[in-house]
Order: sequence, then structure tokens, then C-alpha cells
Amino acid sequence: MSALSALRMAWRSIAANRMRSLLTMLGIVIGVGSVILLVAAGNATTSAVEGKLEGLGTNTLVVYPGGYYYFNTGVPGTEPQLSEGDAEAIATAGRRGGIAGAYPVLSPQVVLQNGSRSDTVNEFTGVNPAYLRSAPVALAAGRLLTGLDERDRARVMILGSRVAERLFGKGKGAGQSVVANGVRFSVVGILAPVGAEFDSTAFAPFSAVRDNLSGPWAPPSLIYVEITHRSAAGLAKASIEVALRRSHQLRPGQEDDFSIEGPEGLVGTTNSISALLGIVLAGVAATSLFVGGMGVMNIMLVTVIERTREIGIRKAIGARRSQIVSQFLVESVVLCLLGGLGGVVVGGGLALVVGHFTGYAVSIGILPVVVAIGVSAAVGLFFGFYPANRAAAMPPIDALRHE
Amino acid sequence: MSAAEIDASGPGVPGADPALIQIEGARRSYELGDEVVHALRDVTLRIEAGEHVAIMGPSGSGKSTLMNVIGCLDQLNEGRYLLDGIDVRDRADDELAEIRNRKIGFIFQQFNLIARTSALENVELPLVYAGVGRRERRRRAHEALDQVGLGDRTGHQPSELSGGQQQRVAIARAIVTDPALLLADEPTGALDLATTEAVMALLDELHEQGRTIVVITHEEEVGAHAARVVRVRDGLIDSDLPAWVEATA
Ligand SMILES: Nc1ncnc2c1ncn2[C@@H]1O[C@H](COP(=O)(O)OP(=O)(O)OP(=O)(O)O)[C@@H](O)[C@H]1O
Ligand SMILES: [Mg+2]
Repeated sequence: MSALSALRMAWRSIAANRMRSLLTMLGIVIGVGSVILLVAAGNATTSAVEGKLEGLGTNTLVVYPGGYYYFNTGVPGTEPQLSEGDAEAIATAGRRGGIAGAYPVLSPQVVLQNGSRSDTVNEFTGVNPAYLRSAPVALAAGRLLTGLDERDRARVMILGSRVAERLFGKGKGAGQSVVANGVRFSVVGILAPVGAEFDSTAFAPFSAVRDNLSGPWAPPSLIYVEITHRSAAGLAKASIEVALRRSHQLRPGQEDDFSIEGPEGLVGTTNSISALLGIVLAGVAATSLFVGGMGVMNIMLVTVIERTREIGIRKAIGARRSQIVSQFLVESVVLCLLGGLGGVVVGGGLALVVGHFTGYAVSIGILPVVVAIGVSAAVGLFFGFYPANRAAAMPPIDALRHE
Repeated sequence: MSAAEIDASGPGVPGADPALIQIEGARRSYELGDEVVHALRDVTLRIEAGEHVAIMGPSGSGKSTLMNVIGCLDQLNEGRYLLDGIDVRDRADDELAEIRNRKIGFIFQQFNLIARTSALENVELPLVYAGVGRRERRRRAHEALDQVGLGDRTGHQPSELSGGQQQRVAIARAIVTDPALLLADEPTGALDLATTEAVMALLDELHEQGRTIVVITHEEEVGAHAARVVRVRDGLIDSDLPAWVEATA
């Protein structure tokens, strides 16, 4: 039997029961759609982390509170913290210890307002302006923060490009003012767009954030450490460890209650996120495609029973077993392929919409699409096999007699 | 006449010219729970190529069972059946499918066209299963439809055709493979009088072109078209006479 006439037959039968076919495909649509969505999410996190890496520059290490194996127990007062003193302790290691500077960062949750327009900045950064020297940021308008701003505790701010756009509109905002958690700051500069991370951030001098936004007792959320040179990362890490263990008064044998991440650490995190995502992805894909496949098998069994008489006619006029089998297999494969295509469209569409609203760069790539569609076809083959064989095994007179 | 012929060239005699249909001592029964229904008790029948035979009898007498056996859709419990010299007993499903495809054209009471499929594609279907190429298929299907007078309805689906037209499409489908035997089970059972005459005239025409036709019917008018009438009762052959003898009886 020619492939074309088999396809035409399958299409006709699918189109004859449009609603039922659509509902059956839904399982596959959801399966493939969620896989595509997860792939997009995975790619977005990877590229966001890469963006963060670039943002940090390769000369920066980041010190976080809590050891590598730290889990928040939720008991107040027990979670490890960093302090401004820690930053000073690290800084004293000096250039011989590979350290060019240590800058504590305050990250309060801040709502910025310009009249009725507002934006919640989750990565608000209160940091000594000296840090911005080593960070790869470029200005789109205005000026950077200066040491004078820090000394004068000036209520000034520079905005990431996205934040500025939300509050003032594209390319505007320099020289204006914003209200941050009720306190007025002047906007002295707008950053050029660089990537998701910095674009959604705003920077203000550490001293001004301490005075106006975080409150006097908030511990730094992290410490940026500028190292003298890329190759000094190992040395710098050792210096930080010595300085912090001393200032935290850790006894030998006790675990670190802080962790240090360099660029390669972030890469590691990305990889472990990707691996986790891969497992989740495989689980979701397998489960939903199995469920979807069972739905297809179910409907194919119904179809075979409904078309018993047709099968009898086909056998009477000379259809061989394999010809009946392939007719029904083609039908279930087409059903699943359509579901797979639908899933790609729905998943891809959702990813684009989510990307549009979150600012993450969404990309899916051709390979996951090809694989998704290939797998859909395989699901159709696998779950269509039993119904198709049942159809082919019907004795012709019994089938013809069927009402 | 027929009894003498069967005696003269008993089935399986080497070198003897085999008849198109040769059935000997055929038995077929069905089990329904504890009950056993004997649909065919002991049927011996021989039909030569080129004959036009009507098989008649009351309801439940075993006509359709006989037709299913002749059409290789059903198997005998006992006895022997040679179709065109081939013993069809114990053949694999696919072999039987191929025999049906090549040697037999079926015409059913309920037309049995495939729904949502054009007349042309319905007629092409036996050729599809025979593996005939697309172009050749088209040509032969058009030819068959022309022959039944439906050359102008090739694109219509069964639901868009009258009963008589559907039956003519079914006849076109039956003859498209140029089979040795046309088997019709109550071909006019679902048609009105005028259409019945038209369909029977078509079958007569096909017979005149040299095709072998076996028609099952309980309508005397339909049986009257045949040259030979076989009457079945309770799974046995009651009489087997030329039509002109029947007419004078
Ligand atoms: N698949 C079957 N299972 C059980 N009994 C059957 C089956 N097929 C036929 N029979 C029985 O065999 C007998 C002969 O049936 P058959 O269909 O051959 O009759 P028929 O002569 O064609 O009757 P009609 O004129 O009503 O079509 C009937 O008693 C019928 O009930
Ligand atoms: Mg019958």
C-alpha cells in the first residue's frame, strides 16, 4: 500500500472524529509541550548564569554565608551570617594574599517608584562604588557612583537598563529621581544593557543603603572580593578562608560556615542545575508521554471496534494482515505526530510569552524539537501496535457480520 | 445434468479439467452454547467457469454459509473445497486474502463500501491491496466505473450516492481485479424493484462477457436471471435444475 494513500486514510479517520482526536492528542500535546518548556527554562538558566559570570567579571570571587553543605534549618539565629568585619578581615590579606579589595553587599528588597510606575528590584545592590571599577558595566547615560557618594552617604542610584525602562521608558531617567521604599534617591546613571542579571539590578552606595533601606543591623548578603589577577584565584580563596575562619572563630575540624564561589564555581552550579533539570525533564517526559500513549491506545482500540465491519470488508477484498496493521499503525503515529507538533507549538509559545515577561533569553534549538517529534512518532508506533494487531487478527466473517 | 458431470470428472482426478468451484461432502456447524447449529450438512456442488447460478432457499437454510465458504471467508468442518483447482483448506490468512483478492469479487446486500471514501478510491482498493501501481489503478478503476455506468460519479462518497448507485460501485469494485468468480449475497435485498432490475441487467451483461456469477437470493425474479437454480433447505441441496426446467415446473 502506498504511503500516501495510507496517510490519506489515516487523516480521514482522524478528521471524522475531530473532537475525540483532539482530546486524545491532548495528552501528547501536554507531554511534549512541558518538555519543550523545560528545555527552554534550562537554556534560559544556563544563559542567565553565563550572563552573571560575564557580569561578575573573571576577577571577582563571591563569598556567601553558609558552607557548601549548609541547609537552612529555619531556626532563627542559627543561620550563618557574614559581617562588614568579615570584609575588612579579607581586605587585610592584601595584594600579597591575592586580594585587591573586599566589598560587602546589602541586598534589601526594594520597590522603586516613579509616580504611578513601580518596579520591584530583587537584586538591589548596595555596594562600595569601588567595586564597580572591576565590574564590567557600561553606562548608557549619566555617571557611575563614586567614592565621594559613598563618603557623603549620598542618596544616589544607578539603574539597570530594564529597571530604567520600566520606570521611565526606554533611554530615559538619568537626572530624574525615584522613591525607594519611601526614600527619594536621584538617578545619576543608567547602565547599558548587558544581560539579564545586571539589567534588572540597581546600585546605590553601601552607606546610603545602610542608612535608608536595609536598616543598621542587616548583615551583608554576600561579599564581592576583587582579586589581583585571574591566576591568583586559588591564592585568594586560601586567604579568604584563613581570614574568615579566624574572624568566625572556627576550631580546626569544624566545617566552614561560608562558601566561596569563583567563575568556575558558578559553572559547577549551572552544570548541577542542568543535570537536575535533565532528570526532571526525563521524568516529566516519560510520565506524560506514557499517559498520553495509553490514551492513544485506548482510542485506537475503540476505533478498531467501531470499524470492525470496515476491517471485514477490507479483508474480504484481499487486505493482508500487514496491510491492516499498517493502516492502523499509520493512524496512531499520525495522531501522535500531530500531538507532538501541537506540543512544540504550545510549549514554544508559552516559553516565548514567559521569556517576554521575565526578560530571560528564550531559546529552544532545533534538536529538542526534532527529538520531541521523533519520540511522539515512536509513542504512536508503540501504543498503536496492540490495537493494530487486534484489528488484523479479526476473522473476516465475524468482522463482516458485525453490526 | 450437474450430478452426471460430477460423476464424470470426480474432483482430484489427475488430468481432469477442474471446475471453477468443486465442493464435496461439505459440513459446517456452529456451536452456540450447548446447541449445535448445522448450517451445511452434506453439500456437494460443482460450478463450471462461465456459469450463471442462483442459490435459493428459505431463511436460515445455509445460503450465506455456503457463500462464505465459496468466498474463502469461512472454513469447512468436513469435506473438501477446490476453488479453481486449489484446495483452500488449512491455508494461512494471508494466502486466503490473496486468493480472495485475485479470484473473487464480492457483492453484498448492504453494499459494504468504505465510508468517507470516494467511489473511485473504493473501486481502487482491491488493486491497492494487490500492489498495483497508482496510475494503472486509476485507469482500471475508471474503466470499471464506466462499465457500471458511473463514470460521472467517481468523486462521490457512498453517502452521496443512491442505493442502486452504491451497489453499482460495489460491482465495479468486484470486477476491477478481473476475478474468475463474482459472488453476490442478496445483491438486491436492499433495493427497490426498478433498481433491482437495473442491477440484475448489469449482472446479466457481465455474465454475457464471460464472467462466472453466483447469486444468492430468495427473490424468484432475481433467480430467474440465472441459467441454473440450486435450491438449499436445512443445509442440504434440495434441487439443482436448469432455469428452463424450473420455469416449466
Ligand atoms: N456465525 C454463526 N454463528 C452461529 N450460527 C450461525 C452463524 N452463521 C450462521 N449460523 C446459523 O446457520 C444457519 C444458516 O445461516 P445462513 O446465514 O447461512 O442462512 P441463510 O440461508 O443465509 O439465511 P438468510 O436468507 O436469512 O440470509 C442459521 O441457522 C444461522 O443461525
Ligand atoms: Mg443470508
